[in-house]
Amino acid sequence: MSEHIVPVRVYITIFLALLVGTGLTVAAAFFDFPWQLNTIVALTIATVKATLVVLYFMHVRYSVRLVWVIVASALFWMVILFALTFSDYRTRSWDRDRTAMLYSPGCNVVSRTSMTRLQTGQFNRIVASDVLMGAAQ
Amino acid sequence: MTSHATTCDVHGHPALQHHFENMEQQREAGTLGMWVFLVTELMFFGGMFLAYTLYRWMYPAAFASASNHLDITLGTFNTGVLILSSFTMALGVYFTQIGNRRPQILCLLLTLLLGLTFLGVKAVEYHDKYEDSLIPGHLIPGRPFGPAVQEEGQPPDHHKLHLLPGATVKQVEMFYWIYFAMTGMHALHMIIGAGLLTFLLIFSIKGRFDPEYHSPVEVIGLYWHFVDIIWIFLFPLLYLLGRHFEHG
Repeated sequence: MSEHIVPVRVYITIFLALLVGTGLTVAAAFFDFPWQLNTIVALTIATVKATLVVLYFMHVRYSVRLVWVIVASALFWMVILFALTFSDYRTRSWDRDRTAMLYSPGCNVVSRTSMTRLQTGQFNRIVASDVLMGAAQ
Repeated sequence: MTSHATTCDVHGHPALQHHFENMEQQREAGTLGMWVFLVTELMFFGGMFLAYTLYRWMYPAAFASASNHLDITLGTFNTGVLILSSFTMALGVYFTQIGNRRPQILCLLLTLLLGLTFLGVKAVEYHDKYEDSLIPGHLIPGRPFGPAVQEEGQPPDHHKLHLLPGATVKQVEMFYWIYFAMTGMHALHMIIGAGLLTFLLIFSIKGRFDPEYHSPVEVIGLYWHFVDIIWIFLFPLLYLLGRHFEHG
């Protein structure tokens, strides 16, 4: 038989690595990183874990090139989906009716402002200005 | 290994289909077929991840508030359960490859039990959401989306929703639409996987697999690992995104 049999110790190593990754991602979630780094850290750990599963548990590391091509094409498709969709959303002008938007129920400007301020620790000083902008209290 | 047949006699392994030259080719074809199917599954979940990303970008405070309301202990436990089940599944494939039937059956059984454990914990979580009126829209007749909101100055209540500044209940409902759609789809895939594993167990006990022919075990293993990968991404995105604001 010519299929590659992965030794058990490889499986054990990958399994332990996955558990470590899970612990890391939970611990990192409670730590306040600057800017958007929390999301980046969480997604990086998740990507590493997923890569380990794909390469070793799913045997892609030991598979023929055609399987690599199929996996790569799936990831390529995801990149297109996110890139094209977000290049549309991110280039829309939200601020045309800024005043009206600020008082609308779905106001995203207020929550984005609040989040930025939460992240930079300015929280105690913004209550009055948020009230003026129509934030929920 | 089989060589080219020149007669119409049964040749090679009894599981070898006539349109394949040998078992290795048959096995590879089966694996490729499952991989192509997994690509379509990625497209399926990819659309939902896109929806999540979009609404998270639009309503960051609401998403953080809603995420903090999920039970992180149950979520982490479930993640550990699924990772362990992937490990036992990989071992199940390994033992099938080397022809050790008893450990093979044990590993497949463990995988199935771990998958059912995951579903049980999910049921508990869904019940908690039902109790707190967090099931979105009017999915539950008579119990529309309407969580109690934590007010300032009141004693902290675990069942009440604590809204971060800028978050509205409507936006939180959006989070829960996405939460139930994604974890619900994921749970449906787990149920299907559990059914497939049951078939695998029955056939394994009957001795249908051997080191030459065990494609179904490998291929269902691929499916199971894929479902695990989806959860590996779902867990931090749904459960962990707002935790660093909790003491902020």
